[in-house]
Amino acid sequence: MHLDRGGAKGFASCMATTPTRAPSESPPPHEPPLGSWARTYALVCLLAVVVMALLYWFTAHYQIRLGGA
Amino acid sequence: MNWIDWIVFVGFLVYCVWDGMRRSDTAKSLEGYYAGNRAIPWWAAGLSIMATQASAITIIGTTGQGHEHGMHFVQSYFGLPFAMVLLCIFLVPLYRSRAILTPYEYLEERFGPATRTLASLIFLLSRCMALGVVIYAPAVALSAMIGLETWESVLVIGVLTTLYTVVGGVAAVIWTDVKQMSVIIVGLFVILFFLLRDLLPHFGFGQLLELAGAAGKMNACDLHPEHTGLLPRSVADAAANVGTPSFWEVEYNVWSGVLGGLFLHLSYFGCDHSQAQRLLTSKDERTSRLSLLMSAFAKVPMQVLVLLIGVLMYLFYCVHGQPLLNKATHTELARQPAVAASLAPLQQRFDQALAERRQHMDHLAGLPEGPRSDPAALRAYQDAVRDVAAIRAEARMVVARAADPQATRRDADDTNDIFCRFILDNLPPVVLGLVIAAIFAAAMSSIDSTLNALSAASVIDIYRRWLRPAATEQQALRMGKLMTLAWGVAATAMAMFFAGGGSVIEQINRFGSFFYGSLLGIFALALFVPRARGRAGAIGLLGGMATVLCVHFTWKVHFLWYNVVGCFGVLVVGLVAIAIERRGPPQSTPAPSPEA
Repeated sequence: MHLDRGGAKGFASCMATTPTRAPSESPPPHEPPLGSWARTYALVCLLAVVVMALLYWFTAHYQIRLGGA
Repeated sequence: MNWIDWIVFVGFLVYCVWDGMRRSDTAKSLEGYYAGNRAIPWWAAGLSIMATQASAITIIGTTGQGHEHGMHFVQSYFGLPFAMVLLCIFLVPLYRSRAILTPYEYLEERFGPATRTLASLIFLLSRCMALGVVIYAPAVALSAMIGLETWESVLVIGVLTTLYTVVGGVAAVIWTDVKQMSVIIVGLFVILFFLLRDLLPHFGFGQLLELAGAAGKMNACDLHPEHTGLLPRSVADAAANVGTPSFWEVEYNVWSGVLGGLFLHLSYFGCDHSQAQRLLTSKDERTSRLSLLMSAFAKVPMQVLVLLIGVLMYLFYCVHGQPLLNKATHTELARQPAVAASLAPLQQRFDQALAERRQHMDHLAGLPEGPRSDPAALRAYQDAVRDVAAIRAEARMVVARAADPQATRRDADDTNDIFCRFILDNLPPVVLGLVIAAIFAAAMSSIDSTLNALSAASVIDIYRRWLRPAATEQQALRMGKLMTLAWGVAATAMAMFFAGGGSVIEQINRFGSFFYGSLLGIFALALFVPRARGRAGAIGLLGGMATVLCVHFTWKVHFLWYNVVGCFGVLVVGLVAIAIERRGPPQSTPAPSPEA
């Protein structure tokens, strides 16, 4: 899964229409966290969903709308 | 504030200025001044991103929000982690593969100079106005705390921040942001510790959450908004309170937070140069991505912390009693004999309401099955909560109308003053100095980033593009420092102008929200529509802003949705412009580069 470059043909052509910087000669010093960016992004999204689920639980457990029991 | 607090506070300010000014070595070229020689570590850029977003009014106002309305504001950040991931995928590779110093340079490559200049001018205009507010709003609160006039506080914040930003450039901005963010985090945890240390002997942590929830303040995730109608009300109907409010009017809920917040944060972090600049300062694509993902992990929990402090402040006041008035100007006015006479019966009712609230609260806390097990007691507690809020609102109106008979409810609002009053009345020495330093840190960390970004857009997109294309590196650098100074002076002057009459601030805040969606839309058009060229960009951008204005003046819609409207407005108008242009003579298209 190549999330890094979007994948869409249109997007790729938009990325390529203009002069770019010369690529660095030395390879990147470090790998992406968790081995790939796709996995890293999945973890970020998963954590965001977990935080929202936790907040939903807090709301359902503790919140009482004013005027309602 | 006693002398120990002053030492902590002044010591921190002096340290910030010294730390910023010693970065002048980096500011010897444009690349150094505006991109830190692209050598900033990811964690420093990440902390700087968070510090830039956390202005002083975020701390003062958000805790006040927590006290008044509970946790619901956190939902506007739900779209942020997803926005960061999308930016990492689409915009970071785009920015990092080009030797650009502002994101608007990319727009020229796609659409030509008109679109780039228009986008840059929109950024300059909206950010400059917002900067005046970013200086002014905390200065009002801080002046009350440290005993200075508002204009004196404005001057202290404006001059000190401008000084080190002019000298040190973006490296000074980022490295001072790191220290400022650290002080903000320490300050927040110290207040949390102080509140919990005070409250936990009275109630368990679970009881505290139950009591806050019974007062309607644990509303952190609202999946079922109060209004669900999809047909928006007209502005006229809403003003006359005719008809049923629609889903689009509901202030904060999961849907507006995830979708509206997604578009807002995409635009803010990707297309607003005060934030996008961080993506250009790290050494490579990987570090730029990591700096963004740091916010994706930390921002929502941080907002929960800030709002929780506000909720705990409410509980603290339930236990210990609270002042009728929070605003320093209100307490000053309340000393006038005529105002004091009007307030005396209110104060009596207020004291009684506070006592009732405490009594019902203790009763609810003692219920083994929780507040829901005794509906009558719960209703009595909620009535007492409402009474306290109503009497406070009434007292604020009495005082505000004593100063100005035409004062509205909004003029009398004191949400931004609750936190200041709380820390002044309750925090011990040293801690108070530290927290005030944290508020100043939050103000400075937002202002310095904006100043450097405004200077970059002025020099790179306007001066070097139009006024002096042949300017040497050193001439452009000198102009950059001059522009930082000029923007600092302009923003400080604007903030001092606000000090004479604050009624324009609300309008200016809304004014800024008109542009974010459109800025995002033009980048989306550039990224995803290969056929979009030339005039389509500028026409789309103008069309997007016009769409937001139309919606604003026609329907009652919460401002988070403006970002979605603006983005799609640009795309639709841009696509229509492309379709029309295709019927005319064909435009030349640059050939793809070999790197494709």
